Amino acid sequence: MATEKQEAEELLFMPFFMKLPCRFDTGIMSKFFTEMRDHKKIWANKCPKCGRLSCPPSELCMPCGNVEMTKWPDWVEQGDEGELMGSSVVYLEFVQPLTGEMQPVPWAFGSIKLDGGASLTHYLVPPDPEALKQGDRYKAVWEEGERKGWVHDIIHFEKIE
Amino acid sequence: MAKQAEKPESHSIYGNMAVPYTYAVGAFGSRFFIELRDNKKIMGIRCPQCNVVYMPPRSVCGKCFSQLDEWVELSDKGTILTYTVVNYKEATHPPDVNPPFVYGVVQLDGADTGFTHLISGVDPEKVTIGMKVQAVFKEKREGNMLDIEYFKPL
Repeated sequence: MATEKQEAEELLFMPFFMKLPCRFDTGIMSKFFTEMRDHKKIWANKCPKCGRLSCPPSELCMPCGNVEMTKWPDWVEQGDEGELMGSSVVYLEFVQPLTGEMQPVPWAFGSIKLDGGASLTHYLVPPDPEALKQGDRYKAVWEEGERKGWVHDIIHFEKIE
Repeated sequence: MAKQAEKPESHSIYGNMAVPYTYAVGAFGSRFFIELRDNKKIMGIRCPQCNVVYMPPRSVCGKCFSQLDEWVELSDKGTILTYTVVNYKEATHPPDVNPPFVYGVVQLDGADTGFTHLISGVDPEKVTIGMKVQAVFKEKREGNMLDIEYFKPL
C-alpha cells in the first residue's frame, strides 16, 4: 500500500506513439527500384568523366562532382553476386524507425563489390565477426513474396561457396 | 542491339515512420495531474513576488524568474477568454471528439492565466467570449489533461 509520502513523490510519464506517414520520391533511382522489383536485377550508372560506377545510381558523381551521370537505359547491370569489401556487426539496440520496434541484435552490414564493378551496401548474414571475411563471395537473397520496389526487396546478402 | 530509349516510371516509396517517445511530466506537472486524477482538484501555483497565479502550474515565474512553490486550489469554474470552432478531423485532436467542436482558452476563478481545453455541451454557434464554464471530470481518470473531459457552460 502506498504511503502518503510515496504518493507525493510519484512522477508521471506519458508514453506517446507518433506516426509520420511519408513518401520518398526516388527520382533517378526509380528504375533501380522497379528493376529490383520486376526482374531482380541490380543496376549502376557510370560517370563518363572519371568512370566511377554508382550503385544505387546517382545524379551526381561524388568523387569528381560531375553532374552528367549516365541516364537509363545506359546503365550497367551488376549481377547479384560479389566480393565482400568491408563489414560491420552492430550490437547496439535501437528503435527501428519504420516499425517502432527494437531492432534485433546483432546484425551486420557491409559493402559488396558486385561482379559488374559497383559497390552496394546491404545487410549480411550471418552477423558473426568471425565469419565475415574480406574477399568472400556473397549473393543477394531476394524477397520471393511481394516485392515493393524498395531496398528490402533484397532481404540480405548471404555467403556462398 | 540498340537499347530502346524509354522514359522510366517515377517510383515512390511510402513509409509510416514510427516515433515512440516518453514525456516526463516532471515534479510540478506530476503533482498537478495526480491531484486532478485522485482528488478532482485543479491546482495552480502563486508567484510570491508578482502574486500571479499560474494554471497550469510551473516551477519558475515567467515574469520575475522566482522559484514557485505556493500551491493554490482553484475553482472548477472559469471564464472563456477566447475560442475557436474546429471543423475538420485530424490525428492530433483528442480521440472521441468529432467536428465541429470548440477549443477555448479558459481562465479559472482564482487563476491569472488561461489554458486551452475543450468546450462542449453547447452549440458551437452559441459560445461567446466571457461565457462562464465549469469543468466536467471523467469517471475514469488517468493523470493527464483529458481527466477534465471538457468545460460546459454554466
